Amino acid sequence: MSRASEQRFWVFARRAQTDPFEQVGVVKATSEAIAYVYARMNYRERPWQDMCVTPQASFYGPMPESQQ
Amino acid sequence: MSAAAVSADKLSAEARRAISALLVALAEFKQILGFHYAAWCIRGPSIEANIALAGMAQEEVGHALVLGGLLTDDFKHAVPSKDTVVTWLRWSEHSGSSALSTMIESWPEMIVTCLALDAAATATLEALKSSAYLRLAQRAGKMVQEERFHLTFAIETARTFATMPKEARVALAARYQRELGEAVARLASAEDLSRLAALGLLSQKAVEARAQFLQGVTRRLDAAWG
Repeated sequence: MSRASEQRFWVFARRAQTDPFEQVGVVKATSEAIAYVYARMNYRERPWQDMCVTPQASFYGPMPESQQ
Repeated sequence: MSAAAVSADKLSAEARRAISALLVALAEFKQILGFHYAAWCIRGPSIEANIALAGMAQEEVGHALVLGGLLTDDFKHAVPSKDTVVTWLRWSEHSGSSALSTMIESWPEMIVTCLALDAAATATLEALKSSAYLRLAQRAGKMVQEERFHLTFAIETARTFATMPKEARVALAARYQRELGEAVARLASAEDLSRLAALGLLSQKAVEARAQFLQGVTRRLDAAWG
């Protein structure tokens, strides 16, 4: 697998349905589907109620250079 | 549940034999999958993949433990020890061609082989979700849920093989089909499942559900790597 074809996904999760989502980490993956699997497996230290991933590139806004 | 739920002690002797044989086979598959995933959890292409493999290894061994628990609690049957299935030492010494007992040294081959083994085991558990033997049906449902991520991991990883030379991809597809055929036959043939249906442990619909599940996995794989 070429790492060049991977992109960064931000991982969001919440512990209860009434909680807001919080960013819990980042994974690099070649597709949204596998990013989600990585997120479930890599950030399972807590029993999350919901988890989702989104490409970092989908966020608009000035970000620190280290995160771009 | 498609049939009236029963506990293991209410099953006929023949049904008990058939179910315990299936549980032994499933527990062995889970141990072997745990070995394959664990063997690769420091050799995958990324740290994310490695952690996922470690988690999947843990889940497979956990499933083997649960199935073994049913065998000892409900059938007073000896649990297949992981050391009788395979050990690290014996595994590396094996030279046979069966993926069930040998270390797989190529990443793409490991992915398609484990996909075949995992798909065969999960499809069988999918059928068992509606078993009249309630304790197994409940556990099968939970395992199938966890296995969704394993199958997606393998299929999405296979998507990255689409750029491989055609001959290599054809060889991988042939390996997947071969391993799947052997795994399905080794776990429980269609006749074995039909026998469970005849014994009232499964509905005929559940037997068909396994075939549909396997077709679905193969379709997803074909779509992934084109």
